[in-house]
Amino acid sequence: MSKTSRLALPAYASSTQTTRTVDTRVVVPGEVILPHDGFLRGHGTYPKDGMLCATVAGMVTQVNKLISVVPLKSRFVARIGDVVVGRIVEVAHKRWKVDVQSQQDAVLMLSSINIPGSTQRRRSAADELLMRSFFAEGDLISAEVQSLYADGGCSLATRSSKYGKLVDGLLVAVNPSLMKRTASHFHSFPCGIDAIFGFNGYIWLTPSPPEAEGDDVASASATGAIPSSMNDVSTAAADTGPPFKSVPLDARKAIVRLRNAIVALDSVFIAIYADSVWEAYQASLELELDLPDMLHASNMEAVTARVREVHDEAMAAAVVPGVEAGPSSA
Amino acid sequence: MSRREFVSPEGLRLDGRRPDELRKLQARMDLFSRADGSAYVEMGNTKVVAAVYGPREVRRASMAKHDRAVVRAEFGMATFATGERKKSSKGDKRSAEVSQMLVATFEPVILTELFPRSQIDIFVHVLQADGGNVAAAINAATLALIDAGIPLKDFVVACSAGHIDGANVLDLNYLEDSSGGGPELLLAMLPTEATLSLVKINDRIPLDVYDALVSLAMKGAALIHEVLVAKVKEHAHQQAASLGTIV
Repeated sequence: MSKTSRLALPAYASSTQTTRTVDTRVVVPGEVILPHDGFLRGHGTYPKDGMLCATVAGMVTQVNKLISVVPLKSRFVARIGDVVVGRIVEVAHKRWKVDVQSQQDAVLMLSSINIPGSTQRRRSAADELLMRSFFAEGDLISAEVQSLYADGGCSLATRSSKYGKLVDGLLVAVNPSLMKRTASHFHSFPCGIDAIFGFNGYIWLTPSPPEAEGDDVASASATGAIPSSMNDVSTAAADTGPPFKSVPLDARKAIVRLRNAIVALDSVFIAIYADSVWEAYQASLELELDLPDMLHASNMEAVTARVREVHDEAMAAAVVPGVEAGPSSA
Repeated sequence: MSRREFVSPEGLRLDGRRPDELRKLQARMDLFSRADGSAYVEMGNTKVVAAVYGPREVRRASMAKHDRAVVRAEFGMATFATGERKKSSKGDKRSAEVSQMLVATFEPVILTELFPRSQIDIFVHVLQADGGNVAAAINAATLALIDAGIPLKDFVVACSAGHIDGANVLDLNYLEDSSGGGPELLLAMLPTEATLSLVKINDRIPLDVYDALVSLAMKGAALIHEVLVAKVKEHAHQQAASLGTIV
């Protein structure tokens, strides 16, 4: 990725070479970017009288002949493979509707979830009747974007032990534009808290499962205790969802400190990922801030000022990041 | 009681402006964390906030359009917005009319075809009413839409102009609007091509006055556009600097 102060329009030596430039000039809706001929119209642009005009406020990005403008802030735009955290809003015919802060509710098909004990079989009518015992309205889930629809919607999948219902934790909602594509969106903080950084701006914080008991516990806590046969229907109806574990006070305080650190980053528009959150968490400890005090505007500034320093250094040190951060690991 | 003089012999108005001068325009973007976009606009003593939600899932499935987004708007005045405390004006006839004007103004400008089966909600609230409420509402809604990252063909800028005591004056305040007695013209414009998207006159006026008022209001709108563009760019630079770089 190279930066130019103005949009340079070099003659491309070979068409096989991908050249990506980000213009530091900000364009606003209606502003002319450059003449249309010879360039492809990308997102955030609009042809008018032979010129390409911007439709959103942001920086001009050029990949070969494709010109696009990326808005600095927008709702979540799904891409295949994105890890998301979402909330079930509707149980429909063979599918759930999931709020993921996108332009439409995402779809989670009954066939795209793991039914414990019977992973590889067709979904029967009995499964359909049990849908609410898997995920009911209001439940939180982690999932992965499986496919995109032409109308801007997307479908999700939880067919992995990493994904499933989320319990015993706290959801933090932030601006989706602040989320960063990283190698893994699952992170364990040293304070004994696990986080799922949903790329859609929903972040899930939960106590780390005890290590001694191994994988069984981890996967069980991720997918929840889901009734596996019709025999379980009566109990499932009685208590909707898995039994909740009590979370010790220390873990709850750590979760809230992380949450307040994330809220602070969100309020000052700093990218939110494991490192920046941890930096803000540590800064709040060093400043000896009580949990409620972290949310005062002046303290949010103080906490994030340090993150900004570290962030800027890292940015300066980063030589040439890849053209595109690879899709998050599935 | 003698009639008030709205433009003095020296060519100054009641608040000290020249006839073709705007009031002081101030704006802020990104006020609310849970709205997708928000903005605050002050035109003199008229103060307006706007919040935009969307594009998001339609609230009622029957409203959904299969090929584009639905745009909805709600205009309201705070109970404390006027000199005399009023019941909330939300949902009354006048507010409903302005809400419809907002929808009609913004629907053709938003690239709704990019968001089928979605809905975009614009909420505008007047905190202090001192004339030109609708113009300020449109300007605030434009900034909020831009803050939300919703694609627009162009800015929409609005400005009012009036004809008082034989003089054409720009951007009327409450006193000039209510006791001036002359016709007021409200105009919304797409500034890069100077296309008019909304013209509203509350009285009959001679054709030559109409032409003069339209060109005066267009000049005002062009000035407002300059201020808003500067604001949007400043805000975008701040956000970009905060993010470090574009991902």
